[in-house]
Amino acid sequence: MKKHEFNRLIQPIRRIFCPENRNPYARKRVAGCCVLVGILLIKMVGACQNDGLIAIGNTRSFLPKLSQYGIFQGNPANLNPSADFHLYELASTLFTDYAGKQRLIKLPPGTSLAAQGDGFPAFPSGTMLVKTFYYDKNQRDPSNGKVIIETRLLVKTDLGWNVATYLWADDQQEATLVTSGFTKTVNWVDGNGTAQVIAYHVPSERECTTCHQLSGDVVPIGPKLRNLNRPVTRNNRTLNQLDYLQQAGILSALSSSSVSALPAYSDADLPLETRARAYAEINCAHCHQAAGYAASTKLFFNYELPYDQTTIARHKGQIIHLMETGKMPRLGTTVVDQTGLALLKSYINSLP
Amino acid sequence: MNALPFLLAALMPLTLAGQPAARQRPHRASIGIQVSPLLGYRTIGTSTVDQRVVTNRNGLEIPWWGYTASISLSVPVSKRIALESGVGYVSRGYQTRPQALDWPGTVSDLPLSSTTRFGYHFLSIPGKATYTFGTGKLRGIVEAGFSMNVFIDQRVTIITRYAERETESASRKEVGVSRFSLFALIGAGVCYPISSRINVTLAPVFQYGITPLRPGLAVREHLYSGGVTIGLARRF
Ligand code: HEC
Ligand code: HEC
Repeated sequence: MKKHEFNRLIQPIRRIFCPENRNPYARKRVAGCCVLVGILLIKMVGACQNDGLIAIGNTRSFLPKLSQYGIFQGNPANLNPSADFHLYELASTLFTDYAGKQRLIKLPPGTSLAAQGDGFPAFPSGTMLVKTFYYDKNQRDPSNGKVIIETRLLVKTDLGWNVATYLWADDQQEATLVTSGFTKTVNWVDGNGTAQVIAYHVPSERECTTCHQLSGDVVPIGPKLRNLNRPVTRNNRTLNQLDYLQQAGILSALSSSSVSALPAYSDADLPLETRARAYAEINCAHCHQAAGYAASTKLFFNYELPYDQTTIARHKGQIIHLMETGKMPRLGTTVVDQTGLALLKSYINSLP
Repeated sequence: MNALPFLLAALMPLTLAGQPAARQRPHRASIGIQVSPLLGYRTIGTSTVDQRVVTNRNGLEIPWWGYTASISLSVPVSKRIALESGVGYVSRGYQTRPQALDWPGTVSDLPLSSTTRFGYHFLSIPGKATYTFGTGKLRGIVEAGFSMNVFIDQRVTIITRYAERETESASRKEVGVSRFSLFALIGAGVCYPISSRINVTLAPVFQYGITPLRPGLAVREHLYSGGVTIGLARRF
């Protein structure tokens, strides 16, 4: 560009700021312009506070301390549930950076879960779902004790579900409400005797609702009847969990044999496809389904969906690549689930 | 939002631009490149969240490095004042202090401590006014303005220290940070011509985040960074 061409180009800018006629109002005009530009900028940035997450506000507030809910009795560090809180287990579970999890449910007195097919039962208003994340200090020897990190709550009111999480203090006696996320160093000795250190991420409320939503409504993910349909050991007796929940008065009457079962992906005796689809159901499908966060990808992982409606076939390479690089799952982990990755890899490679 | 005063302060120098234009020959526009290391530090403040969480988080944070690099166009609007804008890349770094790791005593070769580093990466669009003062070759400059940051990604790295070695592992996320954020910047330094057309500038610069990196927080995050900008500008 020639010099005079360039000068002509910037002429209008100059004219605004250096009025040749030395108009006494010029300075005020410029000052006014600057203030306007400033306000505009702030408004613009304010309007663009999009972080790619789905934020759904709570319709009730949460108490500041976990102990106020009376979830545990005795020494809180032992995670010994109070009488109203019932333990439940899932056939297939979400991978969260190798954390161990305890899941509890509490129903309002005199109510129970009403089965609706093999999906979610109807949860009465007042239902409380509790998930506590912890690490055994030495996975080869649980007697070395554990570090409890956070306890997440889903509480149902007449207006819908609400989310909250509580960060445990180092003394393991109390946990405090954390709404904006938190990163905490966690270390343990894994099953191979190797030292592991990670930057564990406690999700913000916005992250909770991004995973726990369908079409803008907050929802639970785990306790579908088919994922509860598995054997459990209670009072030294092994029985089907659906039968146990009925005996405990939590679930309305049904025949457990009429409910389908989500396989446990950890069960190496099951067919590869079954295991891989069960893994994706609980680790990917909460986002990857028609009403989920990743609906626009048309890549759906619901277990019940026939293969040709999943578009897995079109995404084979991407599935492996995005998992390997830690980009998928998009939230909820900071390290790659090597076991899960190996499972999906052999499944994808087995596909025609 | 209490960001307005910052922005107004940042834009103040622009209002001087309405002064009568210089009588001498018009000053020339220039293009330049700037690089700067950026030492970042952050705290959170709040009234609504439990103090324990705030103290915990603030107690862990210590400064860490990032950097910024940009190319820009500077247009003089008067004898002493120029407006500058361009495009660049900025990496903002924060870290935790080393944390001692506790282990059940049975295993050998265990890491002793770890540090977590947070890197936020952005495309940046700065907009600032510079005021030059003094006569002779070495001149002083004062600059103020803003930097609009467009989020690219976020990397969390954990550095694990053993008795005689260190390991590092990182994870990357592309969500959870505002698509746009705004930083106010002020700086002061010197400017020196190394040839008839080329100027070098050296200016300590301070930046403060006026919109939060993550939206909708119950806490107010204060983001500070400082560095020394080294710039080369060539006049047309
Ligand atoms: C990465 C997605 C993801 C995020 C983020 C997430 N969850 Fe979940 N959550 C799940 C999945 C999947 C399950 C069910 C599987 C399991 O429990 O292993 C679950 C289970 C739960 C449960 C047990 C009841 C249920 O729905 O199965 C609670 C309570 C819960 N989450 C609360 C929270 C809260 C509170 C947050 C935010 C602090 C949160 N979750 C963030 C995916 C997520
Ligand atoms: C927290 C929600 C979430 C979870 C959990 C999640 N994804 Fe995704 N996924 C997304 C979103 C959102 C996109 C679209 C990303 C984009 O457009 O950049 C996506 C995109 C993808 C894509 C690319 C599809 C395309 O057409 O672009 C693949 C492949 C994928 N995910 C695989 C997985 C797998 C495998 C899992 C489970 C291990 C998983 N995802 C878990 C949210 C999620």
